[in-house]
Amino acid sequence: MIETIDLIHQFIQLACTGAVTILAARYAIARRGDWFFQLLAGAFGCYFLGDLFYTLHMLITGVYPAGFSADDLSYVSSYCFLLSIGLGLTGEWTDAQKEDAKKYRRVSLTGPVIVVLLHAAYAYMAGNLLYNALTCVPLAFLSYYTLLLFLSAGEGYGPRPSLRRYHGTVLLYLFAECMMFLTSSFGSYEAFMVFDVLMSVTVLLMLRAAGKEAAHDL
Amino acid sequence: MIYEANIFVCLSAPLLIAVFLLRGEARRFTGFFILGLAACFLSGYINGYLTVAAAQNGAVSMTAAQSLIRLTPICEETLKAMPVLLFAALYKPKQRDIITVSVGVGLGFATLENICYILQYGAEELFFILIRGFAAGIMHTICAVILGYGLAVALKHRRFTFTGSFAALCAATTFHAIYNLLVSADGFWQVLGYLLPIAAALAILFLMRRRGKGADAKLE
Repeated sequence: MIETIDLIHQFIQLACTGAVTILAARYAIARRGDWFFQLLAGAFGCYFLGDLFYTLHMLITGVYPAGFSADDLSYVSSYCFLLSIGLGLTGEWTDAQKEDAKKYRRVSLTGPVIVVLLHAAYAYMAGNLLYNALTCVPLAFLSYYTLLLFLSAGEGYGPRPSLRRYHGTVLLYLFAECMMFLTSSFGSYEAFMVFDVLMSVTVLLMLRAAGKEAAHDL
Repeated sequence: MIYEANIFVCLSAPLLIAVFLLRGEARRFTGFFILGLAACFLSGYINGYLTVAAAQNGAVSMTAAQSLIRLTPICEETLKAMPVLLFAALYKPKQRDIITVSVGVGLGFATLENICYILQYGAEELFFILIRGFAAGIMHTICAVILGYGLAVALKHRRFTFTGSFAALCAATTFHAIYNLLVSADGFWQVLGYLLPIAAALAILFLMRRRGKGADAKLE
């Protein structure tokens, strides 16, 4: 029963990520190749490709891919695209803004600390060292930059302060992703599914928040 | 048995001479086409080694079919990306040039792979030849376009050059893995796998035309 529900959810997630990829690509075209939306389309596109591989593997072989596989690589590339957005946005800061953001740097370090601890726990319980190392590095940096941008956007400065809601959704995405790692290491299939559903909702919210930025500028 | 090394030498010798005779973009394209042939030649050996190593790995052993889906795309796309990454890192080229050399490598790779398959399985059946040409051949080109376009965007902004390049490589690898997964199945999935590269190529052409129209409108 739970397998059927999971498969249905996989299809829904696939539809969600596919739709948001197309929408993000449309925003990128409408804004004449804005790097923010190009990278966002890349992140959603990679997530969609990973989901597609995962679901097709289940449908064709009857089992989900075990161990390190191409879908994992795709999820890692999705984190890399989101990290690229964070790096690009902080790169747009002026020297004065960089100086102001210094007070948030220490607080933002809590993000990578939590991510690394969770991955260490996951590696201890489930092994899978290669995958852990590959996901831990981009997720740790992503959590740092997202926290930094989220906190600094709260004061209304930074390159695009209207993106604060977007940074919030990226934090929610990170939370869902980390909880999925944790629940899978405990072998809790039901809890894993709950966070997977949260992930689908977060992807939709992320595009909605980014779309508001697009509407704001157009 | 396929003498891949001999085929590689036979194909690359005239092209190598042509590199010295040509100039500009044609020379660059031919040079990267040869590098694509070399990447295919090398990947044949590395894939063979990885398949044997994965089968003998006690903890997470894989069958040849599983390694074709999981390991082969990673190895092939990494080898194809190496010359393009080097070119982008050393020469700081224009965006269009990165996509051109990436497609050159992809086409070179697809050419040697197709020749080896045809020599191995024969060229009697036109349907089989069409599948090789329109499915696997286009798939390598699409992967090259994904990598080239991703690199072109990533290199435009210094801050995310590394992460963007890695992400583009991963995206190309996953597309390749999905193709391998589909064509390794039977029936409907296999047909879907053969149609996937053509559908992706049409989607890319549609996007390019839309972008072109947008640029024209901007000029007017």
